[in-house]
Amino acid sequence: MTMAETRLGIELGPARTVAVVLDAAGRVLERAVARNLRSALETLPDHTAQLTVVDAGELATEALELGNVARTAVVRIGAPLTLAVPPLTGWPGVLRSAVCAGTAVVAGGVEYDGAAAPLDEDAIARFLEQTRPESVAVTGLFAPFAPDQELAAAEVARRTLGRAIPISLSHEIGTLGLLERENATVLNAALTGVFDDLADELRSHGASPHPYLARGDGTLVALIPALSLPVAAVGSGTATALAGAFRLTGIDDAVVALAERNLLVGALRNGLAREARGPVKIAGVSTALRLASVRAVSDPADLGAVVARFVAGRLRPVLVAVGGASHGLPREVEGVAEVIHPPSGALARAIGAAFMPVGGEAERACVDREDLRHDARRGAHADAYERAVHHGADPNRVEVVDVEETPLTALSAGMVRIRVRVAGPP
Amino acid sequence: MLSGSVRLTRLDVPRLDALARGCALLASGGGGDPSVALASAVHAVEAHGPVEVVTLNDLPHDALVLPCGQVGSMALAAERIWSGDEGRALVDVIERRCGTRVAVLAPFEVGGANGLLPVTWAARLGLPLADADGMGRTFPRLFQQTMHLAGVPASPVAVTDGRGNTVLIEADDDRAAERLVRAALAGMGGIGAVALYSMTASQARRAAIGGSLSRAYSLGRGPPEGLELLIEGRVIDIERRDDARAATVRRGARQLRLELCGEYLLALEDGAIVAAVPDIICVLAAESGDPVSADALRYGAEVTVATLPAPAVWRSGPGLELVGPLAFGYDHG
Repeated sequence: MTMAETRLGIELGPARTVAVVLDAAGRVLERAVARNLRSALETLPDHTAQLTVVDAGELATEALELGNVARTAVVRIGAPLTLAVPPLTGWPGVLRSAVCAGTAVVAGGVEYDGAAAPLDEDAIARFLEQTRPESVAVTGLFAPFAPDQELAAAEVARRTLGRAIPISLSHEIGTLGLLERENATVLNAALTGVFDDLADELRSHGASPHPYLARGDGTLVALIPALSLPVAAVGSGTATALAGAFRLTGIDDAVVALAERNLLVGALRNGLAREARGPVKIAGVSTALRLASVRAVSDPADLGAVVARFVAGRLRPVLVAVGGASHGLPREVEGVAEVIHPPSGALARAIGAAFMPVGGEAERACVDREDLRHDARRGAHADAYERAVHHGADPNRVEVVDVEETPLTALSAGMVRIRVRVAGPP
Repeated sequence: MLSGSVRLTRLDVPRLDALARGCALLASGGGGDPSVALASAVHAVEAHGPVEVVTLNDLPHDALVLPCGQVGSMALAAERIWSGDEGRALVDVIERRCGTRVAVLAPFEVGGANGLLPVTWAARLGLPLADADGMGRTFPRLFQQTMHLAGVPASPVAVTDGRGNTVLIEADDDRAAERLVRAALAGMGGIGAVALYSMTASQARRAAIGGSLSRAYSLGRGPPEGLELLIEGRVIDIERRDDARAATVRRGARQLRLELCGEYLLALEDGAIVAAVPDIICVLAAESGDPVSADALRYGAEVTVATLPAPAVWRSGPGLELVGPLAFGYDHG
């Protein structure tokens, strides 16, 4: 096994840091379990690997829990539309006070068919002048279809607050569904800088020149683009645990128990994490991020009951136990065919992270006619491909994972929304 | 009314959650996700105070009742959130046209988001809501309303896009009104706020379905009563052809086939119809008990399928002709 084919997988927190060096087949060559990243890397005899992947979502979760966030100006483009539900509606009060430097809903916005209302750039400039935030979140009506006004607002923000001001734009973060996309965009802006220390440490310890971070959707992103999309790392711990459980057992429809400080249950379907349907809450905020569907188990004695509810109706699934505290899980669980404790199960997150693909996705809307659908599919595919490469995928090995076509019904000229997901190795 | 039902007299913030859940149950899988309409209603009631709910019998004979709601692509509704002032625009147009003050708003469709949307507008206008609607559930067409059966014309119809643009439609008949509304929507963002079938309280007493909001609230405030269970099982197949879909739910040797197109329309077992539109077919997520909309039903989902009876008016000959299985292209009804 040559050095060039090794991978370094790292999982951060909550209680410990794990670093493993793996060969191309996923065999563990070296391992270190330590209090923090520095000592974990120092413990490894040789941590030079071609590819380094860090599962660091815990840093983002912790920052939101502690309110250790950037004060963010929340700009929404679309008035008078959207005023019926103001920005940050339904946010927990404590998080809202920590995050919010002010909110403004300004005139502008686009329609589904591209018709645009003029953007009130002066209102944005005045608002940012007054609030002087550390970060800016911009959400434009229908921006996933037509991002121009968000880009114009970003230019106003840079003019007003300086070129260095961090800006999060909703079309880079989410899909249609204004409130959930806006919430994720604001969280993203608030998490600005959350990986800066990690980036410094990785640089100074020279793990590998181009590290990747794991995302909550089960894909990877290179560190540099990851720094501007921190919210995508939330939930990475569950995604890597599920990927690791599959990697370690090859069972593609198992239920997975992740035992760390808390006990969580998730499930695999065709070897991928079963995703949550509908909005998912992050730090009490409703977002549309694509995350694994999980259930918390408050008392380990209830594990069987939670698994039964979680997979309701499925006959006696296999349960794979992973995570730092998985040795404490029982060998037999009511209603479960078999409990598997894979060797290296305690390292599942680091192992899972090291082998996840790099992803990209994009969407378009068009009139529901075969030739236009064809063009829209190609356009969305090209955008998704470009994003995957920007995220660090090998440009020659990106493949389509999923194409989803949703009719926008009840319009006289039927419209359809097309969403393409692609993925490839780093 | 069913046992356990209560009369709703006032909509404050705690009651809105129960109303939203009931509206989702009555939607028969259609009508759009009520969550944005709920957030908007909560915001309006917090800012302007609770909304009074009155029965049609409480109103003077000549009081003008204005049924209203949204129409268009529900897929756009989660993005294109309303300003909240659409109610004002609709009332202005209708009052100018009719020369009478609007006394009370009502949902034209109690199922889904439309059961809640008039709450926002009523709160902001300081108007009461009538405990009534024109469907008792959700239907895809604007003329599929009891007012149409009773001969109350849909026109004048007011449509607004929430950006200050309004259209007044004077249609010769209700089907033409529907066509003209849809045509207007294409130039108004694909989804519009609409007011139609304006009528006096005495007309409404014979033409509208009374007690709709109370029914929704009663269904939503606890474990729903009056549901007839069809099956608890897992979605093992989804077929799609054009706009329509069919889902198969299996438990052991039993299989229930659901025909859906925007709403759940038919439930069949061994080729025999066990529930059919206009009766309401509810699909609930097994784990949470939350209603699952027809658009969100996915392969592998664990669900409970149950039915609720339609309002009696839809079981008449003319009622079934307007909203029965045949009206949706199913000839085995």
